[in-house]
Amino acid sequence: MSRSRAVSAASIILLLVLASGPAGAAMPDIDFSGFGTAGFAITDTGKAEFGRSQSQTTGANDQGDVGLDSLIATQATVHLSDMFSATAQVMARRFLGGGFELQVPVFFAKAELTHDLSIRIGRFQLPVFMISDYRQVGYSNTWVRPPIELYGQIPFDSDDGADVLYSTTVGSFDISAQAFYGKTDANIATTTIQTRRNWGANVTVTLGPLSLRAGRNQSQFTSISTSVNQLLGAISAAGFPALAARLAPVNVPFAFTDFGFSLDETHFQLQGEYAKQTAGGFVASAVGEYLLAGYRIGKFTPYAMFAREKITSARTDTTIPQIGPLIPLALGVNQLINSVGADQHTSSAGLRWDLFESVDLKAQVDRVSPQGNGLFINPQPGFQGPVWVGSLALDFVF
Amino acid sequence: MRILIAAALMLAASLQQAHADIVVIVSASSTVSKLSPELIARIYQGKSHTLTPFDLERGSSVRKAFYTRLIGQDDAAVRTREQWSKLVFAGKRAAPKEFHSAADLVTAVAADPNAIGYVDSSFINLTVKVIYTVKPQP
Repeated sequence: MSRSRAVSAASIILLLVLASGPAGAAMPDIDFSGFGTAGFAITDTGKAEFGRSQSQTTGANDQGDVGLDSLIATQATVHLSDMFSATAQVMARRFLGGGFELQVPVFFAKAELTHDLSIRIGRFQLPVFMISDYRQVGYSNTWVRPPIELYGQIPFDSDDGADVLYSTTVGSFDISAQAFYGKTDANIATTTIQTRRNWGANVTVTLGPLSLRAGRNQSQFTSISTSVNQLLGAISAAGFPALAARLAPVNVPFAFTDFGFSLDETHFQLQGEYAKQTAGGFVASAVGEYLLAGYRIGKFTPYAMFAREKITSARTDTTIPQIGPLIPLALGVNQLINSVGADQHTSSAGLRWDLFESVDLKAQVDRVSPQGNGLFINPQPGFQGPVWVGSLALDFVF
Repeated sequence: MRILIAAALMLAASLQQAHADIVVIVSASSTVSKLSPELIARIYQGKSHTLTPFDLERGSSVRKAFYTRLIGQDDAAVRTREQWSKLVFAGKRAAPKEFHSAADLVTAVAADPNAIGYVDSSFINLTVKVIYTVKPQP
């Protein structure tokens, strides 16, 4: 995990504030809390693995998998004064490799400038989706996991930088807004991806049971890997430097627009989101969407969901003719532009059971229909959808 | 005679206890004088940030009655916990501070002009003002 300037800045601010406190002052208030999921997932195929996000390189297959959804996180907030606080979250979950990894998805210093307005410096959840902030908190969600067709589109969870949070109540409307600026770094398999000048804003308006959210995110995106660089070099050397330059994902523009809503009635629950992603270089542009409907009957909430991702950019490139010795290169180009994102849709049905005030148990069945390999991990020759996925999850907060 | 008056007062007090109202309070120095039950519910669900909510600790019968009556749902505790978990783990808001004793909650509300609390009506004093009374269910 790279240490960014923003995170360093947060540490320095924290130290300064701690150091400036009066000697012998009482211990500051500290809040401890946490959340976690114990999960199990199994599919009906041994020829590919079902992943929860792009940042997992192994997933569930017909042997069953307890690592897909299982995670545990703990969070501490130190209240230094009425104005200043610092928060850190530590999470253990499957990331990149097959094993569990300890991460720090949240680490920031916060100043509450007024009752309605606060500023945070450090690392916080990259707020691109409606539920980015709590997508890993199973207990706060009806489903077992966020639909990969939408939530898999962005491989970053956290942003290093600063943000401004504002909330107000105007009559029956509760409004909250956020604006952020920063950068992200991630290493996925052999690829280093990063965004710079990553900024965005979102606003949520709540009226009674209905919430509407709109968000926008823009950045300069870079994705570096040896294999891609070799391919681009070969394309250039074969006499197609313009194509190589167009496919090179170095400081290319990336934009993400997301609209979401939720209707949270006493019994009936409806939640949906639509997102449009445009990217430069070889990275595909796509739209993703889902609709979730649930109905609470006492402690039980049966629910159903439909999610899909559709690639909107060209899936083939004909710049290099598929003739003679150029065939491998032409195929390589087409493989590259299909390497991120995929057409896929999933229908799900499940049941949430609220066991206690802070514990729930869920069972979910998904029918995942990929086009080709879709969003599946490690596909083997002969892999073909649709794939059935069965999941159990025990979620808790403390 | 005095014994009779004392007995009558004790009886009155115990009757009041049995039918005690839950009152929603702010500091006497607060500019707020009245809030709708809908807005109070939104504040306690973390939807509105108009005031900072203070809670009685989990397991308190007053707390249970407050949430059930105010939010009007049997599963009010679960729904509220769900809502606050979203805000807490987003690092956006701290969960409502919890108080073991109603007297401590009254003291804390009195000291913070942005705070809101709820207690059994027998605990209030001049440092706080009542902005809403949660009636017992018939």
